[in-house]
Amino acid sequence: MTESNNIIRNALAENRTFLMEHESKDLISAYDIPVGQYKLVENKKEAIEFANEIGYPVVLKLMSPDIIHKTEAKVIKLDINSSQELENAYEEIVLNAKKHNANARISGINVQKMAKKSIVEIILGAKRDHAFGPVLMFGLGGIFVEIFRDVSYRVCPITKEEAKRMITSIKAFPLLDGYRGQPKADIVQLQDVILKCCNLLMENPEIEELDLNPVIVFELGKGVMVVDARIILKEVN
Amino acid sequence: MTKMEDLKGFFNPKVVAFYGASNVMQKFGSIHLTNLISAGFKGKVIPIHPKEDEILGFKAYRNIKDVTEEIDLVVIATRPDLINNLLEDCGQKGVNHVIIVSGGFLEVGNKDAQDRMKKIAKKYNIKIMGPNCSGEVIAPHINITHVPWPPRKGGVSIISQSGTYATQPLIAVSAKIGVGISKIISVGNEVNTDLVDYLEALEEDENTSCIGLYFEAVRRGKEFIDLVERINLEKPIVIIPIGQTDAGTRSAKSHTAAITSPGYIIDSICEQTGAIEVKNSIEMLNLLNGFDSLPLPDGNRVAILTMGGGPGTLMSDLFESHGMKVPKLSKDLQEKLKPWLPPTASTINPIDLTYSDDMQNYLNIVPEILLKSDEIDALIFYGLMGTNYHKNLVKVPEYMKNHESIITMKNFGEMMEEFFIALFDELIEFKKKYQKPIILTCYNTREEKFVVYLQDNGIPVYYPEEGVWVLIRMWQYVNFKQSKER
Repeated sequence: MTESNNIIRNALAENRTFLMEHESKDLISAYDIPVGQYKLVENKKEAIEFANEIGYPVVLKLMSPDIIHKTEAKVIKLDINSSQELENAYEEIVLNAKKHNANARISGINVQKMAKKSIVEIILGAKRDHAFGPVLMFGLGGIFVEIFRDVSYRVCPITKEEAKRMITSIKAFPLLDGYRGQPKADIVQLQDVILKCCNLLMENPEIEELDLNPVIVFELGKGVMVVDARIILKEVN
Repeated sequence: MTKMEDLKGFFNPKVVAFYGASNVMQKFGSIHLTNLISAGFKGKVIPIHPKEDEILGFKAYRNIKDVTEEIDLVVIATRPDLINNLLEDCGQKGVNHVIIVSGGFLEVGNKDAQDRMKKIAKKYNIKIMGPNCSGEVIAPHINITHVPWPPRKGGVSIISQSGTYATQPLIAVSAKIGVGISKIISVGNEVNTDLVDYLEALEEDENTSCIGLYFEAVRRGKEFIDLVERINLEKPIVIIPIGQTDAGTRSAKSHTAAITSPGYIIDSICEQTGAIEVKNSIEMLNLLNGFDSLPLPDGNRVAILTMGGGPGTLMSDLFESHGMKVPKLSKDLQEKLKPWLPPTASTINPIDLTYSDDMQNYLNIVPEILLKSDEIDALIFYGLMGTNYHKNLVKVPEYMKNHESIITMKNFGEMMEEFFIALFDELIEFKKKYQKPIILTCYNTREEKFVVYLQDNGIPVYYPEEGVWVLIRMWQYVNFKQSKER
């Protein structure tokens, strides 16, 4: 995977130990992990053109190698419904970035579709252990992970069966399995994404942490979509 | 070369030299030497001592290089600052296996000394167990630890990064659990042999039926997982991971210089490999005893045969809330049982005798009817009183002593042991004949001869809840194995 190598090497060459969101998404896309449509643009005109192409509502996020916590820096705008709203939002987040850090370099503005209502949102994460290598984590988003700690872990590499057991072994699994007449979630695709994450981690020893959060799971047959991705790197000798 | 051959100096030494043994019995080296002799070691021991000509009755040498015969194993328990020079001597003598008991190396930050040790070992091709370890037991005739303990030979092997946990819970073994040991390896700082090496050896070892692991950190994670996954399907592996809280991690680092991994990783490794994680050292020994003594259950249906309602109820609750069943017996089977039970007994399951003094019904006839049926996969008893009970029962004031009924009871207490043994032999036969696990639970320990007899002949005896947990864990193991075979 030369493309993934390049993304990682560029960041490390800049002494950066994290990938910006668009870089993270490019990297996981290279592993065929489905990511919601997004484009890095350089001006308002380009942003409006892309928004028209994918349709409103959209989300704007400012990408900077100097800003790791975007929410804190107030450089994210959700649920933008028209070109007028988009122009205002664009100006606002550029201003906020400068307020947050006067010297922040701006790599561009990420325009993406505002995610549709899903069956459920999940989190897929990974952390590399010094002895055992990459360890994957799976759980439902929000309170399920934060309060109930209802997650499953697996040490990579894993088989298809293990990926499935990882999904079915959480307590909240019934929510993915057609609870109270809800449609069943696409755990077939989800299993596939888990295996792809496993490959990504096995093939790129520089990835120290991976956080795909949230990942939207649609109903069976309709796939999954990564909404936000963060990757932390570490120089490997 | 197999791993057992590679490490044969540890597993099958004929000539063992000791540094640190002296004529002061309080010294660790003296204790190790004595324990080896007391275990019935058939080979030769050679103390090396700078001043003495004779140690504990054995001819001592000033320098290991003065010894003419080949030495298979050296045990070092001296001051740490002397050790690397002694190791150099061992190398020149052509020794390939050394147990270093002494601490004072990486675990206290003395990296230089441990690095030098590693270099010397490499130069002379020496395999080191330790440093900072408690030695080894290779049953039945090798005990190079500080615990004077006559091991009952069995199939349980233990590898431990903690010297204390390698040896001291075994004190409980002689008092209560009676687990049969094959090998105990205390790996310490793992300077050039580690957990993974000894696991490979135990995989090959035909005397090992199941393995207990006590570890703080795994230095070769990938190899460890692959190995555990493979071995566990043949020989059940029971794990106690420790050092997973902040304080635990600090303690582990100063203990064996190990850097731990978070607990959730160990949990997930156990889930992936089917190895069984426990949190309690006694639970580990209980479970290993079960695996070593009993056939695996084919299914999850248990019959409870009890001399009391309480234990029957508690055991039922535990079984049924952890994936096992205490099924109602068929009318037909209940009819077969009735003639042998007191009229007050419940025959549904648990089979509650309430009280019966007919030991043959309780220990032989009813069990065989149950084991023979295809309605249950395992049998657990509650309740049995031993000789001590009867002895205490007749500890009466002087004026009562000569009463006829007291004398009858006294005689019964004295003869019951032999009577029991015939019944136990039958029960032990049932286990083999029907290939179903049989567990006896009660509140007695190995102070009662019947407990010793049963345990040493492969019927484990536990406290009630412990026995239930052993069976639950065994069933979980079978369940995992079946899921892999499907």
